[in-house]
Amino acid sequence: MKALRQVTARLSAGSALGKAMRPYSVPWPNHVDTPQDNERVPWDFTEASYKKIQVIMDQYPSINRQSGIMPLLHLAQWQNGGWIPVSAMNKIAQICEVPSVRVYETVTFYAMFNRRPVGDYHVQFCITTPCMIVGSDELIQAALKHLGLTRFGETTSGADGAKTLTLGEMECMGACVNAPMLVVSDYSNAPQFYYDYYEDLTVETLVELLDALRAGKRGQLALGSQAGRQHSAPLGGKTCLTTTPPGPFCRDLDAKKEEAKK
Amino acid sequence: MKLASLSRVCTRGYATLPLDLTITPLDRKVIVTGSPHTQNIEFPDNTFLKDEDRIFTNLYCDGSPWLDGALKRGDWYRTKEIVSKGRDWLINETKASGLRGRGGAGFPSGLKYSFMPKKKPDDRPSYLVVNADESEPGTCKDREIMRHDPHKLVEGCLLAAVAMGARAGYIYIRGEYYNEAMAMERAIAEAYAKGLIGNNACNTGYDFDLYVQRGAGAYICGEESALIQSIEGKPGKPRLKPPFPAMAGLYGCPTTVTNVETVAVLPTIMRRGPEWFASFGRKNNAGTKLFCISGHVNHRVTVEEKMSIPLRALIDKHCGGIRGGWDNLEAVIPGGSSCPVLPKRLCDDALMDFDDLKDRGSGLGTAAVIVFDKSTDMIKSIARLSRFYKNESCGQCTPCREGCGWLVDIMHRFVKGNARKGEISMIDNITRQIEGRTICALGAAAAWPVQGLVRHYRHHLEARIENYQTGVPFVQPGDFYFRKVKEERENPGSKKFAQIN
Repeated sequence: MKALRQVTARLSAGSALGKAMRPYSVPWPNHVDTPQDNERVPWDFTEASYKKIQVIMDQYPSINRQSGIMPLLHLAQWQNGGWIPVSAMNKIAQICEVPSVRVYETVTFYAMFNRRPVGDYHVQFCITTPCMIVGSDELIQAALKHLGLTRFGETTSGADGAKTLTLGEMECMGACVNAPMLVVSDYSNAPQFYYDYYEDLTVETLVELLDALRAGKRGQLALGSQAGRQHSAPLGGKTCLTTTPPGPFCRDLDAKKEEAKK
Repeated sequence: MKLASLSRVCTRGYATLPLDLTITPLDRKVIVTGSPHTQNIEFPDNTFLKDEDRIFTNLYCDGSPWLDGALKRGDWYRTKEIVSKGRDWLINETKASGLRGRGGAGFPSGLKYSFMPKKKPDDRPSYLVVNADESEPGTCKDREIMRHDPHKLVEGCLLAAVAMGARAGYIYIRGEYYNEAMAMERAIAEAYAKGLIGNNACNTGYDFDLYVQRGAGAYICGEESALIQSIEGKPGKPRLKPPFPAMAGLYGCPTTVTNVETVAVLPTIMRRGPEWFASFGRKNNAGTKLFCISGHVNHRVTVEEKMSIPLRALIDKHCGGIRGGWDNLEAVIPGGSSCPVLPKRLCDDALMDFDDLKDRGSGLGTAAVIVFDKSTDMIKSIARLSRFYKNESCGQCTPCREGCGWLVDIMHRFVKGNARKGEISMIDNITRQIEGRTICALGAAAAWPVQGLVRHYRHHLEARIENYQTGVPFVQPGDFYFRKVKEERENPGSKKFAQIN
């Protein structure tokens, strides 16, 4: 454990977000046997999951079952409440008829697969440059301060029946015109899963959001832009597409090229 | 005396300081000079795209995104006749329209689709793979297509598949676009229910199946061979090319990987004519494009505009200008983070198309315009991008895996100034050792932002090194605009940030 802390301290030393930030703590590359996470713990998909697995596997040629690894990993993560134990990975290897190491290497490669437990909500901030220049760093500091955490990867205590939140970071999440933003993965009602962006944040709206999450009121929050924008339209109102779009139109497909040029 | 020192400090956004003056954040000033660019420039009406020429008419979700709204907007209209025209007609029309790939590389699409084989040695199928792994920092255009206008993409997939003889298509959507993937699945289910795709698609006798495949958070899976690896269930590590995907791609079968926007504009091009599409933009840079303008503009927006529109026109009309006025502009990254940064003097008359930006030393890429104003710490912004590339590197080949790590370490020292002046040329040298010597283009993409920084901001880097060496503490410029707004909200009438506008 001490060696691990030293390694992570060295890793975070060069981080521009400050010494307190530890990169990617939840999708962790190495396996350590714990009482919840070891190969002797039995794990299987539910009946409802098996129905979905049948639909998933039908998408691929029958000899290429390995393609099902990633959709099944997502299913396993949702069913398990936010993280993937090693016995789930072995089960997926069995269903997809591949050696287990093929699943292990896929899990450790992708950032969205968690290998350590998270809280009821996994709140991830986007930290890449388009969000950074409009203030995501200040929002992260405000969030950590408000929740009483010191670094990414930590989970709030869930005292007084509040839902638990794990804070994390993510690279560019593809909502750059609605920066700064974060995403909330809702594992509080596993296997039901919600994954929503909350965009155009300010410190005030962020604090309201975190309080609503802790109180378990995620369903009452406005999705998307917290500043009242219409998706990616400008904040001051649309500058185009102000009229009703025209109806169906098709040119004369058989018209000769010379006539078309005229 | 103090005023004179301050004015020397405030000239250009970096500090060459007298040793006896400590800098506090309040002393930095956002300048607005009296150059000719301060005035508003009026652009003629034909610079901009008219609403009736727009392809993505439901970009902001004014209408229903599902099949009922799509039919009203003209999707799936006479698709049967277009498909019945045949493969060669479709490819010739695509070539005539001048459509270039919208995923960043800008390769002519008609030419790309014509590479798919007509005769195969056995009965292996051909595949169409749509690249909806939109992870380039700054880019958020495919998201709008997939959640607000999914039927354009579904119909485009059918036409593209007919053009290349594909039996099935996979739309690879990045893992973070969970709701967008659900929207695509719903649209595909609607299309299957109506017989628009599937066996005997649109009653043409052509069988085409379309599936959604979700990713799980890796930028490298946007690279075409890594994407194919990811669909096959493996870690997304790119393959060596040749063999190219058109020869051996998904499951070893001929495959073409195209961007969402490229495929989604195909039906409208076929219906309105390639000459109409080619009428926008300069020669070899035809058509319309979705621009995502983020950063320090007054209103960030995703908007569809003509190619070759002047950058100034785009920002002034759709974003309400740069915050603080055009003269407050420091730099622009015109095409997503992989393109080198352009300082203001190169942006004043830049045209947003492939060739003009390439001539200026950058590129159009995905048309994700990231705008930096004079309050930005350029070095920290590029350092954050270097960190992005290091995190997203797959680790297969040594120049990228080791080189990106070196770039991050050195860039973070540059942010503080804890370096030597010779290391500026050294980091440029390192980037040239990375680009072109890797299996895929992520190494080059990691190298170009740093090259742009060294090319245009060497004075920033040197000044920061001098400050550090002379012991004057470096002050992060931070985002004074937000602090000013917060201060004015808490203490109305406060003059604390009066210098910043």
